[in-house]
Amino acid sequence: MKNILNIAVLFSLAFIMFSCRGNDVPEDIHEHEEIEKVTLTVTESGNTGNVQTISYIGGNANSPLTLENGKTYSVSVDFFHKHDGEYESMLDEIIEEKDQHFITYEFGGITANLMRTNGDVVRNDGKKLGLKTEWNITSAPVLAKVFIKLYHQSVAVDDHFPSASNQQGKVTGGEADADIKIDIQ
Amino acid sequence: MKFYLIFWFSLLGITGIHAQSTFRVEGKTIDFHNSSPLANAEVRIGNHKTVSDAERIFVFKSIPEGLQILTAKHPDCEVFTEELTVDRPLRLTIKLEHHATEIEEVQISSGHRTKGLITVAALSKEDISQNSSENLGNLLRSISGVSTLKTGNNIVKPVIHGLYGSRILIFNNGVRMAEQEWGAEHAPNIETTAFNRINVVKGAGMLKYGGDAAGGTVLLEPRIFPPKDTLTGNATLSFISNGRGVKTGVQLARTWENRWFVTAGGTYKKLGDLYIPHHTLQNTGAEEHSLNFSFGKRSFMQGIELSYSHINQEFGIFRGAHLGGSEDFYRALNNEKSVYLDDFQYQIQHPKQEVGHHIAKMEMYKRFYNAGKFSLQYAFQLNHRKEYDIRRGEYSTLPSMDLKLMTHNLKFGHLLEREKWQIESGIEGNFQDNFPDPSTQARRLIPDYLRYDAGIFSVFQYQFSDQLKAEAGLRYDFTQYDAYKYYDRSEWDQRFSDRFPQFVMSESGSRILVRPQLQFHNIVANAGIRFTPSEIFSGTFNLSQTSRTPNAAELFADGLHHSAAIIEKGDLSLQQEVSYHINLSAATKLNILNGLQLEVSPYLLFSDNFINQLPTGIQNSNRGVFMIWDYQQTRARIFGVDADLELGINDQLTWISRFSALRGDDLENQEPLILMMPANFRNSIEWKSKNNSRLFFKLENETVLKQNRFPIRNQILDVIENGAIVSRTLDTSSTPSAYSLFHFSAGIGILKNFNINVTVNNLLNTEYRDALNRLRYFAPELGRSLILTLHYQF
Repeated sequence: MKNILNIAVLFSLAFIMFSCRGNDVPEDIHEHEEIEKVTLTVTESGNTGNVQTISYIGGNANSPLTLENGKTYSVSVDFFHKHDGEYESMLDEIIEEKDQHFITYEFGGITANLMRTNGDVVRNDGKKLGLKTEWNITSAPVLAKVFIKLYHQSVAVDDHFPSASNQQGKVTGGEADADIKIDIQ
Repeated sequence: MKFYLIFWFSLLGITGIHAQSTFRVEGKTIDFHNSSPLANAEVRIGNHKTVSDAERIFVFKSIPEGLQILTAKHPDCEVFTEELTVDRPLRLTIKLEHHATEIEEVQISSGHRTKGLITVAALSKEDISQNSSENLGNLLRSISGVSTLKTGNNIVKPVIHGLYGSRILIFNNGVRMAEQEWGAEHAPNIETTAFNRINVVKGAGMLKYGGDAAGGTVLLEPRIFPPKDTLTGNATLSFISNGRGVKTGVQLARTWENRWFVTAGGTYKKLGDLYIPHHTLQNTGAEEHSLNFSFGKRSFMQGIELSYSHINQEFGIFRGAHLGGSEDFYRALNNEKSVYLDDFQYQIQHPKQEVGHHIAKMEMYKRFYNAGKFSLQYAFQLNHRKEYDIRRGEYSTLPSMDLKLMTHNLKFGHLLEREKWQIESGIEGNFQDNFPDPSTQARRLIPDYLRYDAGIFSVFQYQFSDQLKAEAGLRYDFTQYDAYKYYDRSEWDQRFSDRFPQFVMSESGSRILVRPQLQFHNIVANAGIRFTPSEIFSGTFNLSQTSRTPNAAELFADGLHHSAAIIEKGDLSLQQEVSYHINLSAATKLNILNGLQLEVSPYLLFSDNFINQLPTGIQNSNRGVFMIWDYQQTRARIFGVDADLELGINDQLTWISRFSALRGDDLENQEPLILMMPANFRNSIEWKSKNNSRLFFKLENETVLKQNRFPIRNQILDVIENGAIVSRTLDTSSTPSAYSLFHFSAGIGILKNFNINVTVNNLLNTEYRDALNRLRYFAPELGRSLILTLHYQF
């Protein structure tokens, strides 16, 4: 019985000694995978001096987007994370994993036909990612917005939705890693 | 069981040396640990036999001089034999070790019994082995007043009287589980088949286990071994149709007559994707393995036990329930059915949980005559929880949360028993170290912290008469948190900077490091009586005050909880949650047909600072809109009733009926409390054969009514429909319809040691959703499942 008690005491002391971590000050974690900024660069076709750059940070755009009825715009979208306090583009990562990503566009309060351009990235299933698009505006905006979403790991994507001539896009499944809403005036 | 002899010599008027050949031997028989007299003990000296009378006195008028053999027998004791030298008149006091408590523990089967003044619902070894493939939450669901909070169908937490998480204490072989129980999606890490019985104390009143058990206490108790030189054990193999899975387990025990024992056991369970009516849900498989080992010696007078157990669990989370933000939620709810169906697989992918839990325990006790029983226990636990979400790029293989929780517990107890009263006291200390691993590269939801607890308690019981027993107890607990936490500066300035400036350590950019050191003092009390005026009626009444230190999530949670797609916000200013409880129980036994037992147990809880987690607003982010869930304190009231009926229709056929209903109110916000159990009924008819075949059939109905009382905390979202921006309600508040299920089970014994059981859950493959399943929005509950269990006992 005495030997067992001795073993038991040693057992307990061993646990106490080897399991105390102490209370060291932990380092902060900077989340590099979070999309901290989305930028939309909108250039009026035939008027390359008219360029709007919208930055979307923390759920808010820095300004509304101006779109006129009857005009066409070339649009590119970029996604950024933060590293050492500086924004860094995630485009390379998204393009490298193109088959896991897809961008959709929705217009409310304004009519637009969207085409995914020849310069856009093409996934291995033949669908275009949606990084570079062309918007043909066919009505004046009335309390309008555009919703842009970057989906990750969708089960299926459709880059000809609602039609081959209006390629706003649609997904089945997946999660939105970026979901931004920009006012249009 | 031993008899202890104390010899007390008296002259009895006989002096000098007298050449007599016989002597008078007399004495009394008493209980060792409480000194109560024991009547009807048969005492034999040589060829002379007598029985202790009503006064517990025995007398032998003439025992021959010389060496005699003394034996003593009592209905609840083993026979004791010892040599006795008779060379003068003797007065003996024979102390008998009355193992009434232990025997009661072994013999009790399912149903309710009273442990002290508290009514306890028990699941027997038979219940556990017939449901060996079930987790703890689902196993306890058959008890009135107990429901389950689920995240999918593998992650199941018990809910007692509407309360769960930190308000339910779970004891694994005497060790209080420390396993991040604050999480609604954190199931208890327990392998149920390693236990002989599960006792559930509903409501407060067992303050010796802890002062924070406002909901109740679950006690998982191992087998008590008889003093025999033998090897015993069992082996189980179950085939589970839903999930096309299997579970197997072995448990062995080697015991010796001198009360030494060694036990060992292990289980393994594997399930593939789970089946709902007409489909399987992708990524809902599970894999578990466990092992346990113990050795020691347990006799009535003293004992020592060293034990170790480990369980490792991996649960897939339904792929269709993993969301970005509220817009994703709205999209998922408005699809007719999920896209993540069928294509059955055993492989578990992200999102998933992996949890490992280790417990090592050392326990010693010793009884002293007059001084009572002293016990000492040290327990070490390590809980390692990893939660994997769908992550991007190089982070895709990393968990989003990696928590290591180490807990050391030391407790010292004392039990003093006398004929009419007993007093049980204890003192304990607890140290906890929580480490969220930064290698996840995801912001910590729960911070680094150390937690220190110290507690002291005493419970006094007094037996006024055979009809009336009373109890009163008092407990004090002290808790200190010492945490390191990073906040966004804007969040800190808005919420805490004016109240806790002393916690600030450093600032860097938009982030601030604070070191909250919070202390809590908890005073807990209870008083109760048990009244048994006759054999056919008994009643208990219990008043309690519990006091609970807020858990780590309630204080420190901050940020996006990925798997739940919500933002959680704790509050450093939360005070301890003090609640007041009234528990009543009235039970009767009547000679109707083959015997009727009926028990009705109403209860009431009231708190001025009930900690509640509720949606309070929304937050815009680049991922979209997320609902914010805040931890708040509010005035709350919960009252309800459990009713249990058991009617023996004849000596083979039994009807069992259970009913539970409760009402919970947030009195401050004038709305119902969230996640309250709906009223439910459970009725079963069981037929058992009278011969040795162990044949039985059981048909059960489980009916759960719709929960019509819930807080309406929905979210309004802007969506685009037909080219226009419209506002739509994301309704996460409404509850599903009522449902009714049938379950069937049957079993038969083959030879002496072999049993075959068949269980069919959801016999009619009913499609239904449960109000307490957090993933109910995305898929219905499980469809039909057939479980075939082969059980060998030796």
